[in-house]
Amino acid sequence: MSEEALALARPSGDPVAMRDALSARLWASLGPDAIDERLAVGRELLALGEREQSLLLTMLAHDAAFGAHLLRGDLEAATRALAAYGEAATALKRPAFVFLATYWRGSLALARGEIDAAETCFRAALARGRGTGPVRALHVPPGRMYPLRYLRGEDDDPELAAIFFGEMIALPYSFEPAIRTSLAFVGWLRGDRGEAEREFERVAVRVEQGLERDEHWLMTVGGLSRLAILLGDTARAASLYDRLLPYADLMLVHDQLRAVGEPVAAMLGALDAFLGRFDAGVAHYEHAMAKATAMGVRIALIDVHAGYARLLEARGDAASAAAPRSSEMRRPGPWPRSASVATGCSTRGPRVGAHARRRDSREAGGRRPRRSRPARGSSPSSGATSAPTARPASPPCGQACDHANGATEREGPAGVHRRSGRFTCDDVLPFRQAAPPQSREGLADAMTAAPAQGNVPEPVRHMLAAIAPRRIGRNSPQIRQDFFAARPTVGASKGGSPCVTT
Amino acid sequence: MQAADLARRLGRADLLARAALGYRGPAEMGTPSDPPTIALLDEALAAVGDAFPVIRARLLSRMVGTPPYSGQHGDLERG
Repeated sequence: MSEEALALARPSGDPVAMRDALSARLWASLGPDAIDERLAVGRELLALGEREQSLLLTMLAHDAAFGAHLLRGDLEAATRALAAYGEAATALKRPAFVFLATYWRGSLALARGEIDAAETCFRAALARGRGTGPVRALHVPPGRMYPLRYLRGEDDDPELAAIFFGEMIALPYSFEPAIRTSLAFVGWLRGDRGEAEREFERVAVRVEQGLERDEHWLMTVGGLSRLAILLGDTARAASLYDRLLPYADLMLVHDQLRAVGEPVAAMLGALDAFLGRFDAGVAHYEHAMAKATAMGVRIALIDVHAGYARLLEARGDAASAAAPRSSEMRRPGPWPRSASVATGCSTRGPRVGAHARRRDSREAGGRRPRRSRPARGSSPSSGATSAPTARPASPPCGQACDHANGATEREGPAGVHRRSGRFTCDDVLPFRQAAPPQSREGLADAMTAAPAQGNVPEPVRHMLAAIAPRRIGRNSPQIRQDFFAARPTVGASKGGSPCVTT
Repeated sequence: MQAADLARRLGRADLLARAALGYRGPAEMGTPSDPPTIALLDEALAAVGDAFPVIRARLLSRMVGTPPYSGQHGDLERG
């Protein structure tokens, strides 16, 4: 459809038709198969934008480049494209685009392992999007906080789970295949193998039947590959391997959320290891390590190292197994924080002191203290981690948070977000209770240790001993079930859900 | 819809197409599907056939939908 539109518009030279057709083509070129074309569309949009003096078209062009560079693993180019997009969005003064720029900055920060900065940007995006931005503005930033919490090794959060799995799946434009794959993974993390298998099966069958290779596909198939390994499904692992192989040089990216995972090569390496093809796995992991290192995607890099270590262990090369992980561990903190990152848009200020206290407490064998939630209407500085400081002039997401502008309510589907102040900037989520840096390797922990519980090779076990215990899944799995039972259909009717902005 | 009705009565495919393009912007990601809009676009596409390539290109583009930008182009360009 979009190809025909562009073919018709091009000879006409009509700028409006070209604008519409290029925009449509850009949308249709999301996913892993048309990256070159997307970049070409971006260049054409840029030229048209200059000719027509259209900032919007210029911004679209940068959007095209941003996504394409992310898929290719060129984080530098992606960052530049996003900066240009953000400039154009700011100049246009359209909340929807400012929201996207802010949210995508959070995605990039998360890719780099700057978890606090990501949180700041997601909060700011939520504040920007509330009531003015696109429908997803109310769902995506809090939804993305769920895996963020997981990366910190923090407890499961039923409300976030409800948003991440419930609302994002229920959106008419659905992230459903990718989110459902995550749901299967979390089911597995929660120890509910039955749920993991059910959700895995639901998506895997669709992939085999030819699930469209759109913006969801790569992340979905990557997630399924991980699950095939965890669930011990060799047939599916082999099949998924074949599907991923053509994309070995790309990154696992959700092409709309712009959520960045590991290199596809790392997943291929993991599948190789699972299938006993160790030499091929080594090659894939070496490729993945080089790519992740060059990109500076630290979370992915740790994941790659952990997987590579497991492969080497499985191959019987114990001496080599410690090397890739320990090289990463020797860095001065996988996720060094800066004051500007820590403060972001919060009035609570840097958490360095709080971190230090918790670290001290942990080293002394104490439990991490739970932060008590301030009562509604109380001062934001009344929380347990309060350390009021001046707000930085320039938050890492580049957007000023409007938490002080009275945006303190977050309505949601009935029964889901009754605690409406939960998603304000200061008290959105209990992430202010951040884990000390050495405990933020929940991903490596879960990916590496859990699938082989009781059978973890000793060197790997030793490495994992330094990693915080996996915490997600301790809360009731019933919560999600209850949510699905009680959840009204989001956006099913006009005026139905206050979460839907049309 | 009123414009579409008038275009139908006049037998003007080009005007029907313009009514369809002006009826409602394409859905932003997350917006519920809108069968009346889709139906109108379908009807307009069938009506214009190959007679109006530029309009057809725009109808097709609208059908594709380009969230989150779609539906806001016009406003932005006018602004």
